[in-house]
Amino acid sequence: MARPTYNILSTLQQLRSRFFLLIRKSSASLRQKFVKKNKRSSLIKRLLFLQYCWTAIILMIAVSGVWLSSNYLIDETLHHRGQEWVAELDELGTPIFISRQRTRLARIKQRISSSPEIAYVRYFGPKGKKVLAVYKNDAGRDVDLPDLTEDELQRLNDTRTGDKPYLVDENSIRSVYRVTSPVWVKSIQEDGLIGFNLDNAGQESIKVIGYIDIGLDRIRYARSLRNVLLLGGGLIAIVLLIATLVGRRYLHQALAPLTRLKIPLARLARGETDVEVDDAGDEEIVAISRAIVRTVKAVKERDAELRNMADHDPLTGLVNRGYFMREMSGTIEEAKYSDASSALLFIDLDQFKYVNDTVGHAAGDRLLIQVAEALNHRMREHDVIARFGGDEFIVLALDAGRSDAVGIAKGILKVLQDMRFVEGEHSFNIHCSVGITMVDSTRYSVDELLSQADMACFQAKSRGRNRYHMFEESDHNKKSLTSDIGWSQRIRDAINNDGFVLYFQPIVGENDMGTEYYEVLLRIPDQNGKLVGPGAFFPAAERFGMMVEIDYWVIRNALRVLAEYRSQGRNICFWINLSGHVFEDQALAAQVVSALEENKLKGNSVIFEVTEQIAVRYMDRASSLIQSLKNVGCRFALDDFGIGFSSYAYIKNLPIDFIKISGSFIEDIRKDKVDQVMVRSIVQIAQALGKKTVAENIEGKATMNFLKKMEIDFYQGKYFGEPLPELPDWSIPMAMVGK
Amino acid sequence: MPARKTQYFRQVPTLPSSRNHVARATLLVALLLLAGCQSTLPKGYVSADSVAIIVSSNTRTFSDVAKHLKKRLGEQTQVYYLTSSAAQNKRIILLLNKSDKKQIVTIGLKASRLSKQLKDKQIVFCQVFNYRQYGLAAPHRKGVNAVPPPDQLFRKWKRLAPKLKTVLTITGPTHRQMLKNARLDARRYGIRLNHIVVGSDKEFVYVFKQNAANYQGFWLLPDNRVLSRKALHNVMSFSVRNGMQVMVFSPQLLQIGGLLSATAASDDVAEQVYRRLQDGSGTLELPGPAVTHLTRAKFRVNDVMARQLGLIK
Repeated sequence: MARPTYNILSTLQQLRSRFFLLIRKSSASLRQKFVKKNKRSSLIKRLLFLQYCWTAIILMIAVSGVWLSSNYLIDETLHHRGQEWVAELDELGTPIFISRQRTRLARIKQRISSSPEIAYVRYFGPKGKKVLAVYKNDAGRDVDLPDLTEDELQRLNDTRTGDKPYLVDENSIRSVYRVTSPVWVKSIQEDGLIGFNLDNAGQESIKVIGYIDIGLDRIRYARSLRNVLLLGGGLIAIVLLIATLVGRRYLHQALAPLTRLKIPLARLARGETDVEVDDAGDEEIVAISRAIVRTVKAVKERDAELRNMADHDPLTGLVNRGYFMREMSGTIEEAKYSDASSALLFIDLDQFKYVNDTVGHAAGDRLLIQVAEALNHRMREHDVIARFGGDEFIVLALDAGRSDAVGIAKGILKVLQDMRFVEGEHSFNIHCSVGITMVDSTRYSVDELLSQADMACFQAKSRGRNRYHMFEESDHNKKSLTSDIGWSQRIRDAINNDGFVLYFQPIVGENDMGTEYYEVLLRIPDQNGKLVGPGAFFPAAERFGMMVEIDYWVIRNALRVLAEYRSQGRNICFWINLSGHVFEDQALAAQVVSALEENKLKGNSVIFEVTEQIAVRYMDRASSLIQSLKNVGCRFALDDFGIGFSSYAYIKNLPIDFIKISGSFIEDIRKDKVDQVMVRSIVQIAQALGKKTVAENIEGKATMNFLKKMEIDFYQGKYFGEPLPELPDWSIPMAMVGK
Repeated sequence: MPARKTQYFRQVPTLPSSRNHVARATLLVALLLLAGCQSTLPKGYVSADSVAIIVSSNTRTFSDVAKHLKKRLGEQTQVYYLTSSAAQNKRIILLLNKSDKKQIVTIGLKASRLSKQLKDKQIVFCQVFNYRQYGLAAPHRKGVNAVPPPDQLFRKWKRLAPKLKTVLTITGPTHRQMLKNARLDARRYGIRLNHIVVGSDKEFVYVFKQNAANYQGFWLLPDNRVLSRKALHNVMSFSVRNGMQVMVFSPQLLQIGGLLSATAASDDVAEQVYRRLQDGSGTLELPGPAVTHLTRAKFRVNDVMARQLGLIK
């Protein structure tokens, strides 16, 4: 029997291609719609887009499923209904085969008319040729009914199985599902009923007495299918639409707390830390919210810590130069709109160097802390107190007139006079000098006002220390002030426009014949274009906080020059001086490594010099920094060793390679026995520690010859060569060593 | 039959003359007794040696009759069971044709039809409903009715269902006379019996369903020509659905809705066959009607249906 599988494959393929086309179009338009406004799509929109896609897919699948199952069910229903109708019409049509009473057909018509699914019914005679009776309804009226073919008759006459055959024809008449079956009479054979057995009544003989041919109205079923599809599809669409709307609303509600996080996060991204985060929503969102709260708290704490670190002196806890400068700028700005004046007081401790040299730098640090506490105690809460470096403090007394400023200065002097600094068995009277200048207009810049206070302090020191001095225009002529300010501008220009000039002075190594050593020295043109040394502009540079930048400029340019010379085949090593300020900068190691890599230099071609005082002051930081640069091959020299009552313990603990003996011991060494002992002991200690020594300020051959007996490793001084803008021929200084 | 008598007497041994008076007197008494017995025998004497039984199949209905008959005739009576093998069946016929068996009993339609091939034999058939259909009735071939006596059937039915007044029966052709007599029997119990003749099982079912509403009861007769398994089930289920009383020809049909089953008692069948053999002994032709009636019936009642139909509580 043929099964209802026609056209299913092709229909499925069509459906599939249409479905994917629709998906592509709809996804493209939806994507366009969503992405048009904001190039970066939102999570909600993505989820909604996904939801819409799934809704569409489910709708497609549901409709396809309904369509396919309906088709299958219709074919199955037609099959079963066809058999049922044949069985019923077989019985109803019995009179036709018994008596040929056509009038009895009325009863059949009456039965069929209540079932419009029957398009037609035909009763054939036993040979299958003669139609004994026929019935057609509207659907079957226009149908050209085919005769029973020989093949059909042959199949219908097959009684071997004992099951009545049903022939199904779906194709000969498109609008009709045709079922044909024989009309049988049966009888139990012979003795079957005497001694009847219900389960086995004997064989039956079968005789075909005619045929029934019925047609079921397929169009009617198809119409029903279409209605079912429309209704089912519509219902599914409505359910999905409701589900989508509910889902959309639910999604919005669920993600609303997440959306609300956008505002605090944006504020946080802008650097604001006073954000409040809503602790609402689902578990995951609450977890995110709490994480953000913790992050904000951590950022706040770190921000505060960084701000504190950035704005404060780590030793004393007072604000640092940068912060103070900003406060000063604000005060000057306020002076535009206010008649009130403020006072700037520059404080320099008179005995600090003595304390440092007597009881050591740690004690000096403790003294600074004590002074800072005393100043803090003395000054008002809204006054600004800063440590400017070394033993210099500066105070901005707000809303203070000239007499107030003098009173404050006297108070500071009194506080420090009353303070005694005790360190072990030593006791020190602390005095200071105070320079005052008034901030009452916008006439002077921050730098100018600082210079004024500095100069006033200098005046106070000049007049015998432990006193204050109010800056007067007459104290410092305009020209000098302008010159001081001019230095800062020239230094700034030199940094920005490579205005510095590098000089190189040879350092001769007695046992290191293959390498040329030069100390890199810095020069800058003054206002007349004449090159001047660091002594002329370092004070101003320090005052204006430009030392670190100068250090980096020197490193950058010295390594560039070194690379150029080394590219000529000369084995050169540069000694480069570092200021103390650079140890406060965390980026030093990275900057040096970067410059080495940039110039394709090895670390061992550079020796950095730090003064003994700086190395000792920044012992911890200097040690780690020196070690990190030594790791890339750089070497370190302790400069001016011996002038600060240095402890040998320092050179034992510091990871240095060279000790440059202070020139003050060299200049008169031939005559001064103490200097000889000092130098000899330094050399012996250095040798014991495996460090090399350098003697500076060698001005003549006699000194050179004297020093040669002391087994010093390197020599430097005018005798070997003045500092020059270019490297000399190496043969000259080597010849002077006398080898 | 004289030949058989002759044969019988030939089998009696001739006694030699004896001087022993006691022995002579005893022989005389015996001869006198034999002469007396002979005078009390029925019309014809039936001997096991002259009778053979052919059974259509080894079903219980047939074999029970054969068993009873053998018991009645004598254990030496030869019984032949037909099989599905036509050749073997033909050999039985050839054997019987050659034998001196004069009276042949056929049980069932198959055996009865096959007996038509026997020459110069007297045939008594039984357990055949449609004997006319197959032309079994002949002067030398007569039988016993397969249907129990209608009088007893209607009496029993009426006793079970006193309100029963109309009964329908449907058969194929050739049963008009039997049912004419049955109608008279039914009338005695206030029952109107109508008989409709149909040509096929299909017509049977159709006619039954068309007429069922007009009758209280239906007498289902074992006419294999117009009954099929499907028709039986159809009729029985229709009757159950419509509360119709059905008297059936087999107890098995009680399982599918019959109210009362009436079957022939196998010993009665055997007895009636024996009588026919007796009546026909000594002649080739059998006296009497084509079939003689049974005297008894075995009844069984379906209590469930009877309760359902309100006939018993």
